[in-house]
Amino acid sequence: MSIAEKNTSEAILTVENITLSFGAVRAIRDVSFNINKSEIRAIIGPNGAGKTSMLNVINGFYHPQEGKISFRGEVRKQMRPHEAAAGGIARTFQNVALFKGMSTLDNIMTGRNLKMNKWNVSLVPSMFYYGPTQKEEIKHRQHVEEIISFLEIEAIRKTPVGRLPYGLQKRVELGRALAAEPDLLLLDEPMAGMNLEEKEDMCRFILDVNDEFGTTIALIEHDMGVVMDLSDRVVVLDHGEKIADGSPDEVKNDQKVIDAYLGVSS
Amino acid sequence: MVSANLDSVDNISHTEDTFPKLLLKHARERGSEPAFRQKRLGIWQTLTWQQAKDTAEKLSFGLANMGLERGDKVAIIGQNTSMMYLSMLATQSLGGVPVPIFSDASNEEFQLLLAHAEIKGAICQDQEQIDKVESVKESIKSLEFLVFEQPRGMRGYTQNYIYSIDGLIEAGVSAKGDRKNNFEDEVMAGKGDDLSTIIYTPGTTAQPKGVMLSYRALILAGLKSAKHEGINAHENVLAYLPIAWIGDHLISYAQHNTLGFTINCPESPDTLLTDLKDISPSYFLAPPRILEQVHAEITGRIAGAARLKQSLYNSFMKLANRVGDRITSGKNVGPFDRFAYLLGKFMIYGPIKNTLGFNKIKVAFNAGDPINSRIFNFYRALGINLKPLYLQAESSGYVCLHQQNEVRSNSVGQAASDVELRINEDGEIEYRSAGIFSGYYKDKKATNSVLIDDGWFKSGDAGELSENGSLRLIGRADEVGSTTSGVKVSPQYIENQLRFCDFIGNAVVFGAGRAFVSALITIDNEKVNGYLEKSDENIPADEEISQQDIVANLLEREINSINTIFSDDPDNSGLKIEKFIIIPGQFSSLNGEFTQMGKLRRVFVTEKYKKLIDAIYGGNDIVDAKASKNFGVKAAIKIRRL
Repeated sequence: MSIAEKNTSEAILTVENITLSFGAVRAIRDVSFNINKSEIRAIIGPNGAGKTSMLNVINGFYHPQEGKISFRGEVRKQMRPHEAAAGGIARTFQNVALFKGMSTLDNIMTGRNLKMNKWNVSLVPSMFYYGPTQKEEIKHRQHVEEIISFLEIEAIRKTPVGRLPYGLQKRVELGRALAAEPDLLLLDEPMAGMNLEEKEDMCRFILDVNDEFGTTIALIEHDMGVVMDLSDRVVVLDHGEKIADGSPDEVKNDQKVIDAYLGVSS
Repeated sequence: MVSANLDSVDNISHTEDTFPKLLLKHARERGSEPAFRQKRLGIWQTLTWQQAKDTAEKLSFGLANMGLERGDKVAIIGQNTSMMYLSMLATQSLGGVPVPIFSDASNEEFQLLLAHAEIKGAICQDQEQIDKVESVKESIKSLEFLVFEQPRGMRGYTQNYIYSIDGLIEAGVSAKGDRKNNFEDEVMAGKGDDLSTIIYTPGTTAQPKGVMLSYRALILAGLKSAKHEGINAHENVLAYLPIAWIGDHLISYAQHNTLGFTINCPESPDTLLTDLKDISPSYFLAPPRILEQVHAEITGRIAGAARLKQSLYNSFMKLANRVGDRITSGKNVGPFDRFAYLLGKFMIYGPIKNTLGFNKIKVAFNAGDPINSRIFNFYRALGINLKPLYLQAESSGYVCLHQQNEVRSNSVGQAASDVELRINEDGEIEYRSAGIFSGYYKDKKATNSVLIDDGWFKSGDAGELSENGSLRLIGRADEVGSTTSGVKVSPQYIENQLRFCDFIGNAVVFGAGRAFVSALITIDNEKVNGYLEKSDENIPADEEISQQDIVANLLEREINSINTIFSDDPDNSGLKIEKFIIIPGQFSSLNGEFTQMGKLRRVFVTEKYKKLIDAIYGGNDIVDAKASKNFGVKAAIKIRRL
């Protein structure tokens, strides 16, 4: 499948000298890398390397003791989650953090929260519903329906997500992240627990998002095949430190990476 | 309106003898009526006849700009969307011939069919279809352009012969000034005897054959059967079956354009049951698997319902099984029973039909393989006017129809009006009618072997005509035979009986020309697993279920009961299944055992499982280990005797 040439030279996010500790445990030690606009950046490494922690730092869940984050030119010592979300960063979670009792449609709608006109959905207009609130809902509902059509999940539109198989839940969570129309999409092991066919579908969706909307994607993933095929650049973490940073081919052949993580290929 | 003069449907006026002409007629006379409904973004969106005509017109400009000329073929490959159907109309408006292809055909089949049909262009649903055609394009010399409907993933394609539908239309509209004829003139240049479409019948034995159907054949067949069944312009039809299948082409294309009812296109293949409920079609065609699926859905839900509901359901279904079909067929039923049935309608039958979307059905057909009579009667008992349809592409689907009060699951009805029907001395069904095809494309030999003197067609099916003219299908004529001891064997008939059994998924039967009858059987995983869970058997996880004795015993019970049915039937005395093998895995169209529409590829299967068949007739008790390994079984495959 050919993808049109994309321009991925300008950095949208830079993390510099990030150090994150939990008491005596140093989860991340002096890690710096950047993510360019419209690229797919993979973050890989053995378990416990600090990958999810890194994502949490970018997202504002964790506050690093040292270092700074620069997002779209603005430098911050630390990001706050609501600033990240409002600034155009959306994410998915390793263990799926959907609202289990709500339907697929409603879950994805929650992703539209920050895009809604605050006045139109405030208390008084909502009480009357017909009028500004209804118009607002229709506008956002259309957007959500387009995402549902994009992810091919029309059949489970009204199903409570708690009843869905794991693979579909992950897809719904991706839908919720997409609903926020993010500039930077953080995906934490989006393909964990999926079989081959589901993985292929997920890969296709990720590529389509990157291709159609130009969304920058940072991706934590263990499946090396996926990483090699999907990503433009890769950063490798091990025990909290960055041990490699470059194109998939460069990283694959880096001796440090082979020793720490990949092993020798058969 | 076309329906005004249905008294004698033998001649169609030259202003209405092709589908594009009929499109113009509907747009002119009832342009604001709904032609299509498509569910998009969760909402059913309507396309009127006027809008349909406008879209087809613009498409035709685009196709003309590609150099499409009279007689050129265009492959249509995709799901049921209004755009696919309108592409067929646009092609035909220029005198071209649309050739719908099964979208899940393999690359080899694609190459074979597209090359054989000598297509000039292909209109595809999405990237997947485009990629498939691209991969075989080299070997199709005639192919000049590709068009896609769904733009997802198509941005990076730089080939200059690939167009989006919008791109095609745009280029066509701007080149409109150069064209000599306008749309109406082009359409009126078509004639009733022209080739309307080529439908490739999936080969059950040999290569697929291209059935050529003229406008006249399709329109007459459609009109006559509509007249018999009372189908009119106000029907609602759900178009969900493959567009390459004659069944869908007949109803969702031929009758659609002739009568002018509304075609509803589902959102996606997964949302079928929801869409059915949304639309509540009045005219419905289903292959057996859909009817079985729905039936299983109901019985599954009842099994999980509260005690009161279950007992209500059981009592009322008992009543329905007794009198329901009689009421549906308009026969005499006592007042008490009628009243009780009415009560049942309110409490049970109505709500069930409502939930399924079957509450507005005027007539429903099941086509393809015969359906389990238990399931068939279930629908009739509920008040759904379900009838078996004898569907062959070569007949435009017009051979037999049922009289209202004569519907049975194992008969396809009596000869329809203006159809002549007979059984020849070999037991093969032959017929002659206005809906007969024009021949097989580029295959005079095959055509001449089935289209004989005076237009009679040898169907290749074996059948029996009862005294009242009811036709019963037995199986493919070349499959019916006898064992070496003279017992008549119709493999298809026996396979159907086996398939109707609870724990059996599928079966292939051998016996014609052999010493005795045997079968290769696959299990219904769900039912067998359910049974094993409830029983106390402990089967190690890595052992092949299909070879376990407990499963074989289950199946033996079922097969013994079938053998009893045979011995009780005077027509089948001496018929007995003597040995069988349970095969691990399943038969499927992907593996090649079946065609896309579920018809068995007997020659292929016989070849593929040769080792097993030889072992059965070789007098062994097991299949040798080496052969067994080829079929995925560690230990030797066991041959079961009855």
